[in-house]
Amino acid sequence: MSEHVVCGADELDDGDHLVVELEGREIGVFRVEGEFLAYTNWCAHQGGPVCEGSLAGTTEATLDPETGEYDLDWVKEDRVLRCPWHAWEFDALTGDCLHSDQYRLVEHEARVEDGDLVVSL
Amino acid sequence: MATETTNETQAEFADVEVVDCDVHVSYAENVQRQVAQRMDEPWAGYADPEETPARYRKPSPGLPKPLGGRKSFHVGRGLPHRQMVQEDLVEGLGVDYPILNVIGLVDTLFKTDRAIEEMRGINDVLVEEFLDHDDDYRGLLTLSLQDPVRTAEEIDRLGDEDQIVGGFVYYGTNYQKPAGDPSHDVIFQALEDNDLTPAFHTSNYIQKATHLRELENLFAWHSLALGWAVQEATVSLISQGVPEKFPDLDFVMMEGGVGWLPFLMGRMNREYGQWRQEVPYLEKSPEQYIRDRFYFSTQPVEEFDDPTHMKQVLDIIGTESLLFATDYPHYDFDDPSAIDRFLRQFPEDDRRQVLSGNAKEAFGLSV
Repeated sequence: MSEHVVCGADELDDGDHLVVELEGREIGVFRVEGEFLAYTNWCAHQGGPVCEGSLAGTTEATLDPETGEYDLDWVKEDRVLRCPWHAWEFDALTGDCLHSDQYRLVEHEARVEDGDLVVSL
Repeated sequence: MATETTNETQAEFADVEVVDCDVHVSYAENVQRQVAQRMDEPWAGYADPEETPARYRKPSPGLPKPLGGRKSFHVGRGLPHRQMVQEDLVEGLGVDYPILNVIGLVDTLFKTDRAIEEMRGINDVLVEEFLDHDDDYRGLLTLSLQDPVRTAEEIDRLGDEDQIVGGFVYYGTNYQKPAGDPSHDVIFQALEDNDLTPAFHTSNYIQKATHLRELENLFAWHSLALGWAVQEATVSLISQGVPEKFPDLDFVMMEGGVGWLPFLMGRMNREYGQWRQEVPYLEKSPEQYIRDRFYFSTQPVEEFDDPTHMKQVLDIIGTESLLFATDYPHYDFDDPSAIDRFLRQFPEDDRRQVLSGNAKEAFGLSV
């Protein structure tokens, strides 16, 4: 296992992310709801540069028992990563793919040490 | 029809129960008259062949007559339809339980009041003139999508008839919203409340898909039209989350064939990945909804140059999703042996499921 200082932890605000090259591999680092996370910049769908996508929110549905219709709410703002190829959505806090449990982001350990964001490969 | 062939078919199915999910009560003039007699004025006169010429009763598909010698079972026979069903389908083709529907084209009518009134007349005729005369017959209520509230009332009016097992939408015509439109929820609720199953039957000659009508000939048009309407219904129902809203309903698609299903499952899965945020109420992949909640009638079964390819297609779809259907009395019907040559390549239990077992589950048949 190798460890890499990517940047100062205070250089990333909530909802920020950047892609760095570590040992020849592209790694995306994220700050989501106060947590630091790192994922391989590779989408399990067709190999797209998923970490270069945008972080935004997404919709969530609840069935209104009164009207029998779906209410759609915008949720998880700055937390849902959308791959620039084909728009697959991933929860950047968990790495889960939102439409299928067969896929997820490839995760790496990320931690803050002495004010630095450190990623382990 | 050739009695020699049908007798062979009957023998082939003598030891196996057959439910035919798509048997049409031909909307011949004698049936139209029976319907009109049960309608109130002013609409009865519009529907009565003795008062109104054919060209004013319904929009015409403009088909060449007599279809170049393509002869449907009922043409020129002059028999009561019940007697034809008995002779041709039950005694001839070995069908044990015909599920009847009426293609009355109510959603090709631009007067909603007349469509609703004719829908009611058609359903009374179905019950009184057909189902009440034979315990082995089952029927699907004709449903108009033009006024969902009044159609829901119609389902409640006749839903407790023993031999009524579902609702029948002749789908894809001008005066219909997409199948899954939320305005139709009252219809699905009424069906669920009455333990009835919705069946969407393809429309063909009179469709809102005007680009198909621009195709130059019937070969081209008919190649696409049958599958188009039921694909649209399937996509619309899933995209609106109808299977999630009505967890006790299954959905039947009729006369669209089945060969396109592998495509649609894979296609919708892909679009789901790309557009999930538009349909966040879906709990699983579109393919899983199709496999778990939808049934497809087999007619018109596709015909590949290499017949072994059809077995491969059915392997992908899974026999548990298929319902046997003839489309009697139309000339482009399927003889039971047309699909059975493929079904015989599956285990016997699976074959019997397609010929009757799946239909019993889909329509809750108590036979």
